[in-house]
Amino acid sequence: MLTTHYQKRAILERFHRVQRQLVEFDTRSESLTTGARQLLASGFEAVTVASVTFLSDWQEQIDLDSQAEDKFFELCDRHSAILGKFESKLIPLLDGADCNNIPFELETHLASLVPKIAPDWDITATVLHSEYRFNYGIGQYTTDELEALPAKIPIDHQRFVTFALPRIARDSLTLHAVLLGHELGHLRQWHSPIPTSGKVETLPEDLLRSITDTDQRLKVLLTVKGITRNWINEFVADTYSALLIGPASLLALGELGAAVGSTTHDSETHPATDRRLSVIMKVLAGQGFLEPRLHVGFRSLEELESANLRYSSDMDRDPPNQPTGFLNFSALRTAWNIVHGWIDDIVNECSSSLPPELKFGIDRWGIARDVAECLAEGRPVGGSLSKTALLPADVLNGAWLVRVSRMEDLAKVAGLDRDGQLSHVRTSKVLDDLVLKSLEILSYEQRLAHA
Amino acid sequence: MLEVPFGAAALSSREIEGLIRGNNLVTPRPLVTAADGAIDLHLSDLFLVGKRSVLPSISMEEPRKAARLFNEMRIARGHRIALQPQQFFLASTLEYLALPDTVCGLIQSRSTAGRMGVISVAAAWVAPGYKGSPTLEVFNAGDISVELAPFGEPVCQVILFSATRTSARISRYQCSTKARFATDLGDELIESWLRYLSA
Repeated sequence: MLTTHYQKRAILERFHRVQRQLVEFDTRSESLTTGARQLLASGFEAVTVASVTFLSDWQEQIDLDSQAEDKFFELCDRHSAILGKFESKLIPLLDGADCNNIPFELETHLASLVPKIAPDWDITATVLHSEYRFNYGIGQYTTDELEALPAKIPIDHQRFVTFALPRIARDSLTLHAVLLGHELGHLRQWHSPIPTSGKVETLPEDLLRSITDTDQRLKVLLTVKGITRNWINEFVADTYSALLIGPASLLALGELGAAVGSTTHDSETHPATDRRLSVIMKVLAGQGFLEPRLHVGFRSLEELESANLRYSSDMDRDPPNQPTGFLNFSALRTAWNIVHGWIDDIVNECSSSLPPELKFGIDRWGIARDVAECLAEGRPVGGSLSKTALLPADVLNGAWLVRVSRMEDLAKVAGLDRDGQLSHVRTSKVLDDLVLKSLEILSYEQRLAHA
Repeated sequence: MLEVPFGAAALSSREIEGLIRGNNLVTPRPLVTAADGAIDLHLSDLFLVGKRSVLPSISMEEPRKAARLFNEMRIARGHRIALQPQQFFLASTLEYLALPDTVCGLIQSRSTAGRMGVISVAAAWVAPGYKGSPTLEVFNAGDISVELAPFGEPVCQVILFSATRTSARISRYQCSTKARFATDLGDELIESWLRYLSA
């Protein structure tokens, strides 16, 4: 049996481990997003306060009644629960990459979608049961880079071309949308690159001549090439995301963008969130999502409004403007000038590359609305909801409709609208649980159909 | 207050099928619908499995403490979980029930599982208006291990009765989709921490 003494020691060890991990993040804070840095600061404070409270409560209990074993266990229970949250939520959020963050309920759907998106690509070995921690960094490694790896690591290209898990919580609707949309989009691009991505190797000369700082021309050129390549990949993944999961991609990116920091900040790896939102809107318009009711529902998102404002007139008038140092600033401006001219090509090439049966078009919007109705009544959905086979994208879009406009209804059904106050945290959790249950039920039905 | 009319009979197969079609009583829709006036229920893939040596004992008055005795375990697709003799764990059903206010239910083990020693419910009452995947208390009362497969053979069934409801009271387990204990202590605490941090 565990004594209270050992329980206390175990709790303090866990506090120490969490603190050590936070310190590690702090040492490389420049690689974290703005949102992650804020989270890190809050995390430090929360862990410190929790550990100090634990020790002072422990001492207080000793002064009160050192024989009351139950009270000590209770104290350990409380702090164990808090530590559990730090370990299972805070650290993975900061760390970002972990195959454990892929919900089980998504496995069947990923396993059925991946062969259609990227034939011959083995999802089981590389994502679901991977032993490699570093597997979950995004990137297409060249043969040279692979050969530079330590000799004991088997050189298997597939193992290094993997999903990137963003810094968002497991079980969240945003994660599902990002995995089933944006990350699958990256996979498609790696498997079958669109022709426009090849243009990076021969950048337009007149644009390159516009770099006036001759001293740094070569350095800028190399940086521009890298940024252009990264941004094209992101726009391609966003385009595929909009094609695969429809309007859910717009809302997921809006939420993700808001969570990680400014929506107008360009980085060398990712264009600003609102640039990406505008591209997704362009794709959705092509998919027939112009229904006024749809826009009324979505207009509540500030990110979308911001994107509308910035792009309502002319995209070209809006180059990157943050003062991140002369080299990066010039490079970002030049990269944007190049990529901006290729966006229509990117959208068209992605759209023609994807088989029609994989696209989420306006014809499925009625199903998404039925899904929303069901979820708002506190019920998951199954195949019986629709005459055509229900897809994960239908569930995601239905869930986003609830998130946008039906949370009060769901809170009422779930008994979470106490005293007329809506608990957003708890209602969101109920919604996430219902979505996961729906995906689990769809997996079950899919397995039955195959059997 | 809840009243189950004295002498009320269990709903017939036809009545249950009508509820399934019209009211989405259960998701996913059963393949074999209410053949014997009951709906078969399958295990989901999430289990709360006991670790016996953590506490000397637990008290009936403090159900929250029992949470310390259990670990969450997921069984991968196509795999099974072995239930050892005298072992107990919590599971939930794959099926999600959404009972109307005029119907209540009782969950009971399937005789096939029971004859192997597997008793799959203890808290069998399903209140009118309940929505969720009920938590099952699964116990092996036999002398040999039994393998159970998530999404496999049904382990229990729910029998439905008509009921009248004079006072709406939403279950504290409403909309639950996983096996769980009385209250989610961790969520309450983290919410209070977040409130503290944002204050």
